[in-house]
Amino acid sequence: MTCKQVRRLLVSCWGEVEQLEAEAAAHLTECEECRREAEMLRLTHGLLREAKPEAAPEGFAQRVMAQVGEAEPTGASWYQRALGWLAPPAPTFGRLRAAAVALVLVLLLGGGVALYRGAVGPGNGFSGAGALVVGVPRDGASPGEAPIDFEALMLQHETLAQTQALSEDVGVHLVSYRR
Amino acid sequence: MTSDAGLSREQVEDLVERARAGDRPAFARLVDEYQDKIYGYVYRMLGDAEEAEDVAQETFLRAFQSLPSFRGAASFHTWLYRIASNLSIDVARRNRRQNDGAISLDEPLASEEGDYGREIAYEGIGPEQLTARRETQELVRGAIEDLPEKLRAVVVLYELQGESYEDIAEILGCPLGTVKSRLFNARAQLKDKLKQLVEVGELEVEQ
Repeated sequence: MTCKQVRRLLVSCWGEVEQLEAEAAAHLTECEECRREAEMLRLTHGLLREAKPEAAPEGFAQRVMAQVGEAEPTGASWYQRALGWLAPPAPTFGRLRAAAVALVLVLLLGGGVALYRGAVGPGNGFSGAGALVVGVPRDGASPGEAPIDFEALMLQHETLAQTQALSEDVGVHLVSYRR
Repeated sequence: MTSDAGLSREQVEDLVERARAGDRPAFARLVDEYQDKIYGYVYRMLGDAEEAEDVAQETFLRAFQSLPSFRGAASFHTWLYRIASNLSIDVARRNRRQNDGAISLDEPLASEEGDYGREIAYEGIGPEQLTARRETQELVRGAIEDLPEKLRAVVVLYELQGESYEDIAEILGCPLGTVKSRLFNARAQLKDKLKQLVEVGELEVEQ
């Protein structure tokens, strides 16, 4: 067994030698470097186990409820419902869901970008090349441009940006946005 | 899946149902029940009490506002964790971008012989001012905060919050295999960071 193979096993069992199969355990008796790795893993695990959980600070729940007092359960907007529909809870659908969410991103943002492109014409700072770049008009944009609801677009983007982790598998990146 | 908080699953479902209809005292009971879990998780993700308070509050507020879209397919506590995860990963990423240029433990060591000239950038650590144990905990916290957000989320949820692989997959919206491989990488990276600290004498190993 090679050092590399033994060290993979060591990471999996946090360096607990008793949990290793005989061949890996035998390797450890001969290899000082791997023994040191096992020791470091046991130390790391021990320190993690010592880490005390942080309780919520005094008055936290009251402060939450003060905010909730003013809020209403509003329900989901149409795109949240769409995402909910596209995102079944079963983790086995992860890849499928990533693709579906990415598709929604492309449709929503691509549509918005195309709309903006159409309104202000080419050469306005968008770049293609496999990445979506969302443009936001600067303050004082010239009058007479077609009205685009960028705030709504950005709101959608913000919600969708939280699903970026899901979209990374299929290579869709939200490169930048400004409020 | 059962709630591992003090309330039974049926009690949680009942409270969620009432809160969905706008019953604030019912929601307050849920906040009481889950505040430590959510705050503890967000605090470990961000490492800053003020930011953790803001993000944890926002988590509960958004949960209340979005309750009508919660259909109970996931358990309430994984759903809450999921909101907290999305928010804290976003904030952590933004912080990282703002801190670009800070010295990182990820930089490779200069040589085999050990040119350990680089500083270890942990905020607020003055070795003389802290007791050894507290200092050690600060170092561990710093090592966790130094992990990329995705690995940090998995290691905090599994090793510190005691969540199962299955729940973590649901919280982070990724396959089980991804959870396990991220956990493997997080363990290996944490071990490497602490090893570096031992090598530069920041951390002592009790034999």
